[in-house]
Amino acid sequence: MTPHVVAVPALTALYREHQVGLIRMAVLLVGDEATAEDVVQDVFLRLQDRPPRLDDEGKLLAYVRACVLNGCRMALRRRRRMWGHTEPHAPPVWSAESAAMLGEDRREVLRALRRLPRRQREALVLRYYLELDDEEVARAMGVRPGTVRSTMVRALAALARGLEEEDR
Amino acid sequence: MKDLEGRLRDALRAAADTVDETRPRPLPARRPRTRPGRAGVPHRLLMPVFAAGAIVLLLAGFVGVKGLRDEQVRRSAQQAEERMPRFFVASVPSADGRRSRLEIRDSGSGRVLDAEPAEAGADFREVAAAADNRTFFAISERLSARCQIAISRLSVSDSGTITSSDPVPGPGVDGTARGSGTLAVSPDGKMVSYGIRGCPESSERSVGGVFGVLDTGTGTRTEWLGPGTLEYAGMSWSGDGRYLFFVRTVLGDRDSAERQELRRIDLSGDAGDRAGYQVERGSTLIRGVDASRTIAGTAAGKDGREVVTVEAATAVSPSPSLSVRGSADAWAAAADTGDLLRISAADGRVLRSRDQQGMVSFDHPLLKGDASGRYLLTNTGALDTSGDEPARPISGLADVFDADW
Repeated sequence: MTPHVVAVPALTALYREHQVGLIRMAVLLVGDEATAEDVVQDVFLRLQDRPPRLDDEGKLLAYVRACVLNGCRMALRRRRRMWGHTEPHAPPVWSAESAAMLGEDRREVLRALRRLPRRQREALVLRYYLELDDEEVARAMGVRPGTVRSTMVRALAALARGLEEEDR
Repeated sequence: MKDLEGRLRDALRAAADTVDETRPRPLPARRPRTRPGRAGVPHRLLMPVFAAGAIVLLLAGFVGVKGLRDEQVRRSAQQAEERMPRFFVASVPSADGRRSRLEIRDSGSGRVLDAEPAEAGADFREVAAAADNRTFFAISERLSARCQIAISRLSVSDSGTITSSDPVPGPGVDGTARGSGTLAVSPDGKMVSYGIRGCPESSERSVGGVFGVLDTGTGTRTEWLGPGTLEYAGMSWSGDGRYLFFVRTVLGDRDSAERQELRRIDLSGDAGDRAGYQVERGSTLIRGVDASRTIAGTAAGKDGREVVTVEAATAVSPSPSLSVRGSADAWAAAADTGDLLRISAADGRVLRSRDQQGMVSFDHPLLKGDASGRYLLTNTGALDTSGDEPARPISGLADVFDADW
């Protein structure tokens, strides 16, 4: 199949249908809604400027997820540089301020998730929030499926250790 | 593990649900597209090219400006060196009760800037200019005591005002100097050469032609005596002060010129070395003409390898150009044509030739070069030898006896 440029209306329709899901995925990675919205909107702005060339428009959502994932990595990278000088303007979902809303148990899980390496954290979010299989996670993360499986095993083990430490 | 996965799913979903799905989040308007460059290349890709181009232009500009400045300096130096002399000195004979005088004149307008009168009863004759165009020499002759000349030195300021006028050291020189170009000065003004005729009443000098060189600082003279059938005139020093060019005339019956020789002598040695010279042996013959032609003076080049002369057929000019009957009245303008020749001193070859109007018929032909060797002071005016333009007339030049710059 010959790759073709995705039309802007298709992008607009995808945004209307999946914006909340994409923002929620971004929240789990970056921690706050405002940053998540910025990431998603920036991704769609870029896609409107330079629409992607795909051989199958059915892969557009996976492509956009990969873009949002990449946008979250960039946001976290920028945040690491900035937070050396300022405090975040919004409390992350795993902070003490969110305890009343999420409950202590969920907050412990999210704090343990936050302490994982970036690749393990992304793999867990894509699998256990979006319920993607290994192939889809691999496509979104830009790695091989075998890497996803090994990463997932190490991530769950690390998360368990982290929760045990939280329980102590 | 199942419990862990369940806790993880629950926590992720609860955290995700904190995002309000009802809040409107319209897709933001498209940003204006970044305009690519003319050739479709973004500006950021052209920036290194522009930067490199700017540096190249800067360097080229620097080199160009430096080269232009060097060229201007070189041209300025060349122009300064080859600029026409600012002044010329002219000797004016006594007439109508007015004493003879030396006049400092402006080369452009001919205007008299200052004058130095001769002593009572004396007339200024030949004049010569050093290369600085500020030091001039003149021969003066007492009318009551003929057959003795005195050589004086004149200094002028940058404005043309005479600042000093003194005789050169040493006694007067016995003899008469009437021919054109019988006085010349070295470029540095330290030596003057002269060609005179001996005095009839003097047993020693009755022999005739005398060729002399005088040290203007000490008054030391070196003279070579020749037979009465010889005359030395048309003298000029090369710009480097090494060579003296002159015209040696062999006289026949009734003092008419039988033959003329253009010669060059090397005067770079000490005066003591020159004492034993015979002028004919010590000098080099460059070019000779018989009685049918006449050589009217010389203007030596800067390095002594070339010399400019004017030659003409004597049949055109009834009066011999080297006649000793010189007078101001004879300086009437004439249209006779001679050949202005640039001659190689090595072999007498004519390097360049052009017509020179109104010069050879004068009893006192004027041909004086400047320090650069480019400009000639002639009877008809100032002549630029670098071009083919005729001489530019100088006001008042026809009324003087001799002139130099």
